[in-house]
Amino acid sequence: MTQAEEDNRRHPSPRSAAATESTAPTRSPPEEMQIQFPSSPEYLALLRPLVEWFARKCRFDEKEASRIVLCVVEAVTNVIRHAYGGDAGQRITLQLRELGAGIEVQILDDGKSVTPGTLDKPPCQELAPGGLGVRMMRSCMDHFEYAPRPEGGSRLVLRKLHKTPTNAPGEAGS
Amino acid sequence: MKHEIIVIATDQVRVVIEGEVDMHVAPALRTVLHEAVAAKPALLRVDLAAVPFMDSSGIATLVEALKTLRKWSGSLRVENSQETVRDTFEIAGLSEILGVV
Repeated sequence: MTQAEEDNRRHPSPRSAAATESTAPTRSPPEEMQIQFPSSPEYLALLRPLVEWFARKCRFDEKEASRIVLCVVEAVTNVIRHAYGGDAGQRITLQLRELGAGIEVQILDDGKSVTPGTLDKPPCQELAPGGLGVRMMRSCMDHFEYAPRPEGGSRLVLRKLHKTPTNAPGEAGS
Repeated sequence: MKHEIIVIATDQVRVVIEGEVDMHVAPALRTVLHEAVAAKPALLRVDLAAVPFMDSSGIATLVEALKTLRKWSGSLRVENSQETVRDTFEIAGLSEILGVV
């Protein structure tokens, strides 16, 4: 029994109680969470264990989970540095969502948008690490999508998929 | 972040770093490396055995130190890095340049 099933058994909601009465097989909903935090670099240390825990929950191994953590740190760092120009008093939203095939990370800000095309800098010069964070995110993740939001600010969507095609929850993945 | 700067020989300095390195900590690392580089060593050894995480902010700081060292043909060597950090250097494509061993 998963933790969610155990919690549900101990504290059933009216909806789940109704579901229990039916004969349809129950399945845990995909994991999903959202947090908001100030655009201060000191929060990066708090994000790491949280993202790692969630990635492991989505069945990523230690190495892949570490890479996902790295990408979230790079993305949030970029928001603090570029969207907010180092202003620590702004707001950042991090959404983590379990996909059948992996994990989706969304990072939302209310700051200055970057023209999407300018994110891709020329290939790494030997000693010029500029744009390194974006290159690392593109290298580690299967999906990288950055766009301004109509209401202001930007949204970055990152997805990492499991290596095997067997992606349904409960099935073995690597 | 904790650190220690050890002068090994007249031309060799070893810096031992402890703790995670991200945007929040990178300025402190920059100060430490600046101090270590000031002695104009031929080789700066950066021991990362006690660093469980480093992002591009930390890598940029190492690259900055290397650029300064190269002014007098000095070099930098990253030593004892943990697997996760070594993987980050690989992803960044800078393992060779930073002399990761």
